[in-house]
Amino acid sequence: MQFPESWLREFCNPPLSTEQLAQTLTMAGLEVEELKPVAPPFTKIVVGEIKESAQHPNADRLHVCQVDVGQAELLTIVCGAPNARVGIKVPCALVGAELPPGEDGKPFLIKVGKLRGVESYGMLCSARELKLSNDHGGLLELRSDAPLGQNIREHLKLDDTLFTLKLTPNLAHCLSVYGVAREVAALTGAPLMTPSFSVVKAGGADTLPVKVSAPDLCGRFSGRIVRHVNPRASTPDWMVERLARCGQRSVTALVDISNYVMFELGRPSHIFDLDKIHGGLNVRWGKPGEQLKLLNGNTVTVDDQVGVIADEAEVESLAGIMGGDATAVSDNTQNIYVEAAFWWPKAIAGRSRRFNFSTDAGHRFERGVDPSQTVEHIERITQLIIDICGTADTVCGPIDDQQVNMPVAPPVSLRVARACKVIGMALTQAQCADALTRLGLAITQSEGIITVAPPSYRFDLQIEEDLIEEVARMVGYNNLPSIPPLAPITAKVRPETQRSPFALRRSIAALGYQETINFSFVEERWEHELCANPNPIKLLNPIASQMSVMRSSLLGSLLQVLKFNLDRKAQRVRVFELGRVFLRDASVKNTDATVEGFDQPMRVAGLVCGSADAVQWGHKERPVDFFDIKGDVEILLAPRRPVFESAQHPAMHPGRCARVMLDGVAIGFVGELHPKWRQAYDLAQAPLMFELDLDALLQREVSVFKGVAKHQAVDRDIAVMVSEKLSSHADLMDAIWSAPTAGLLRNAVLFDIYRPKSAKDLDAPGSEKSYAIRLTLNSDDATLTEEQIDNATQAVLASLLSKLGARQRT
Amino acid sequence: MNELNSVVDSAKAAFEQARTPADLENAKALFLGKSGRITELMKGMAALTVDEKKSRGAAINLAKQAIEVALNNRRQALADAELQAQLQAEALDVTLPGRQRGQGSLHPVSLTLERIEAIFGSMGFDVAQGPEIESDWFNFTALNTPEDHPARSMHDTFYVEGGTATAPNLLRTHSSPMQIRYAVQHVKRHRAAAGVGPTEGLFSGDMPEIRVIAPGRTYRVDSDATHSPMFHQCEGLWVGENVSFKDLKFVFTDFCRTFFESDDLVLRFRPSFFPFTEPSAEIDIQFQSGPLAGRWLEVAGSGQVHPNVIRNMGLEPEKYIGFAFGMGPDRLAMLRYGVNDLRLFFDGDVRFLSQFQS
Repeated sequence: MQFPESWLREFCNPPLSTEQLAQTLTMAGLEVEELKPVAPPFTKIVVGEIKESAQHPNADRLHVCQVDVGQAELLTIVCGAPNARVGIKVPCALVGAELPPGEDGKPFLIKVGKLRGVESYGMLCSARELKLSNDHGGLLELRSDAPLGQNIREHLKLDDTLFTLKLTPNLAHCLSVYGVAREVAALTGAPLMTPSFSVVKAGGADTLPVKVSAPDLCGRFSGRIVRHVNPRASTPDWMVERLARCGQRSVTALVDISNYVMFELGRPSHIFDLDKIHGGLNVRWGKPGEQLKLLNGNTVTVDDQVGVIADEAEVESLAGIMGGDATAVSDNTQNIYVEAAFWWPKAIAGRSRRFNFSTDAGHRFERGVDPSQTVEHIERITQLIIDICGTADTVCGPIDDQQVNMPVAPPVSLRVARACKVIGMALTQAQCADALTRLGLAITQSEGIITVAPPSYRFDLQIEEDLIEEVARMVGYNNLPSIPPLAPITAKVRPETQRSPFALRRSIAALGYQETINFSFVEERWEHELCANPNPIKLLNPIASQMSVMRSSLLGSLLQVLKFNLDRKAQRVRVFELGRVFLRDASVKNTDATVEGFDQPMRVAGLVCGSADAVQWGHKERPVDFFDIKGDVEILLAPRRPVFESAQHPAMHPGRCARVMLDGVAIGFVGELHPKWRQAYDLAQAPLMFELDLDALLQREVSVFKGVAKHQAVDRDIAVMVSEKLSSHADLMDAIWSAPTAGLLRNAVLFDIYRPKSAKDLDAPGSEKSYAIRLTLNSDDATLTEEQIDNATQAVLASLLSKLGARQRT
Repeated sequence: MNELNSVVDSAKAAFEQARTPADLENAKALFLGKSGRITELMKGMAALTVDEKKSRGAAINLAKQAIEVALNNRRQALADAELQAQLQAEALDVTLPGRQRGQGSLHPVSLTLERIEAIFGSMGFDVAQGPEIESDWFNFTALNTPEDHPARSMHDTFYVEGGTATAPNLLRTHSSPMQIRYAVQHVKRHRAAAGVGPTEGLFSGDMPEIRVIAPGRTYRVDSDATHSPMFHQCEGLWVGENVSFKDLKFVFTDFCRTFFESDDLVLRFRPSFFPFTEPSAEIDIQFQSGPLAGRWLEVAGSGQVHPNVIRNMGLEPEKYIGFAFGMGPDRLAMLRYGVNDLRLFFDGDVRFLSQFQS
């Protein structure tokens, strides 16, 4: 809400500077979002009248004006404005004046200067030159009664500040200048000017029949007929200016008056063109399908959740939100109906949002507007109408006031002891009572209890905590004592079997990966292509099409990060992310920890692309490959030993993809991006990726001591030839470990793969490769004998022969 | 005796001339070998008398010893020279860079969350995590924000399929749903332990305090230089029998000063409104030095948990009170590390990310 400080000070004028006033409001919960001077600084600009205007002798577009600024002599001023004509009053910058600072921040100084040979003793100003508006139409024309020589700041009341408040939904009673003033009075003790409303004399008994059919919508409906008004009367300058300083442009006098009283007193009202109403009015819930063309030109279709004011023919107004086009006042209006009602907040809340717009009236009604003063405020509006739009024939009907369902605010009690406990401060009953009284609340007291009768304008005083808050606010949050809390001490440490996600992040970072955080909503195409997910979880109101579905995998996001960095000439990218993915799962129910239909596990994914190592003298450059990233996965899972099995993943190369198994459970995939996506995503090199369940990486086992071998281990290297096609490393290891070595085999490591030069064509039948394996043998009982070593080695070779057809290389 | 002296001198000269161990061994043979000069001199003593033998032998021995000393000196010198040559040959250019494994880094927001967890962990707070696709109940209604509450318009909500027609599922707009989820789980556990059945009304028995933070991702329909449609929040909740508003102020002040490692950091608690807390406070901080000195910066919303919310946790508000806060780790990370554009956090630009080595 925006308003000028000067208006506020008419109601309550505490001895505080502008900044102090703003600070007081902010610290009381009425956050001042912005303080903006009405005009930038400038000096020595006064009201001047153009007395003569002659063509400049040397310039077609310039005039030489004689300007009266209330001094003995006229000033000669050269001016190029198209509207510089004799008789108008305009702002005149005198010699020595400082105009508003330009972009360099320095004020522009007016000096005597020659313009094409004619001396000019000042400058006539446009609104734009004074930075009052962007209007560049010419000189700012002032009222004809403006006193010559008067300082323009005084004349236009420019030494004023616009306050913009960011009011929270509980502060309905502060949605007007008077409402804020009431709060300022409570906070500062400065007197509050309470407006009085003179009663306009009614002529006759002219009323409009109104029926309130929905008391759960409308608690009070007040209205009056005013006949023979002049709708074309112009709004007085002071009202136009105040509205403008509240951010409201002037429309017509009648609309302006309604708006003015809303800003002044917080009372939205509506003025109908009486002659366009068919019969009487009926205040009721809408009927499904009924349509209404609104003042803003939109046509809305209502239903039985939306309140309306209808006449005998049609719906004429959206209750508490906006009037209709058909009964709007126009230049031809003669007779009007002024309405002010109390709409139940719950009956208005959220309605305008359904139609995708908001209005000042709706904003106020859904938070709560004082039901008590509809009649007084109609009197105020009527008086303004008579003053501004009145004619000799203007006549007012009596106010028809129907109170069908007035809110009753039950008294609320505050226990002083409870307030002390919740606030954490030793407050006396007197302090609490003082705080509430300053707010203008009527209280009664008994031992330890203060009871408040909430005033009709306070919709936020319903329970004890509401009063505790008011006490805390008045005492001031700054005055809360600075005493540390007393609390029981209990040990709270993460179990040793559970690694912290931050420890995992550090392990991944130690492998050279940068952590990224990416949006959970992604492009739908990624889900189809990279996850083979035909039906991703959709956002109903996505912010953009490339953020329209919830991701079921982190890989798409990492590919996008890769692309982003490659586009910026990154040579080598290693990135990872920890994040949630979103999967449909009908087995998930609503519980304390889950939401029905969705599985939302945490995952960790990594992506590498480019050379295996950063460019350096000590390593030969080579592209990163499957076994680099597989090694990373193994390090992250260590000391647990995953099993990798050949698998298919929609994002990955079918021959270079493995499912990662841990204790027989699949925990994710590692592999190379499928060449077709590499092409589709326009990547020169194939990135390698992994994606794993986070939980699996966080689980660890507490280590258990096993005896250290007492005897020296023995290594034996063997080399076997196996068929190129027939075996995998996993098969090889299975064959080795299944050999009957009497428990002597302790370790087996493949340390070389060699393909004879003749075996270039790997598909050729009978092509072979040689595996070199180091066996480590040991016994817990005694130092191994040559015979034991030989037997074990032979057993391994025999197993390799029988299982894989592998023969020892000679 | 001159003869012996000259033998020693010529031996020394010969040794000096030896340039390699082999040369030296050859030179040694000339003097100390089987047919070397010393051996010959010994042989020449056969004709002498016993006394002459005695004196002559002693003299030859002295000469022999002198030759041996010279030999050993020369051997050592050659060995030293050889070692020296080897060391020189083995010298490295120690200014060449070491082999680089490459070091990655944590995201600055992660670093921030890690410190938040550490600081609140030291004060006895647990860490809880929960769903990001959330139901209307946990995100709004249970937090005392019923349908059509004006406060809902403060949150521009992303809706997701599922839920009910009037209360569709959504992406959580704040981390506050975790207040309810964590507290409900905590209360269920302890009311069962206290032997109070699940249908026996609000719990007013004894239980350990609830002290938890819940960091995570949150979402709002908003995107510009200072708003991201996805951002982070960290919720805090402390519920016990005597946890007051001044405790909130003390704990959060302590947190901020610890986080920014600045004892002169100034905090401002100003009244505000959230449906789920009352009294409520917006928390602003002000640095006394640095580029942001003197400006008030909003870092958290907070307040005493509203009694309706305490009830939705399953607790009796006459017995249990406490505070909650929700802060923006993105904002804290920007302030801590001097990042000036929120969008950098979510671009994934490695030139940005690699600046946060730790």
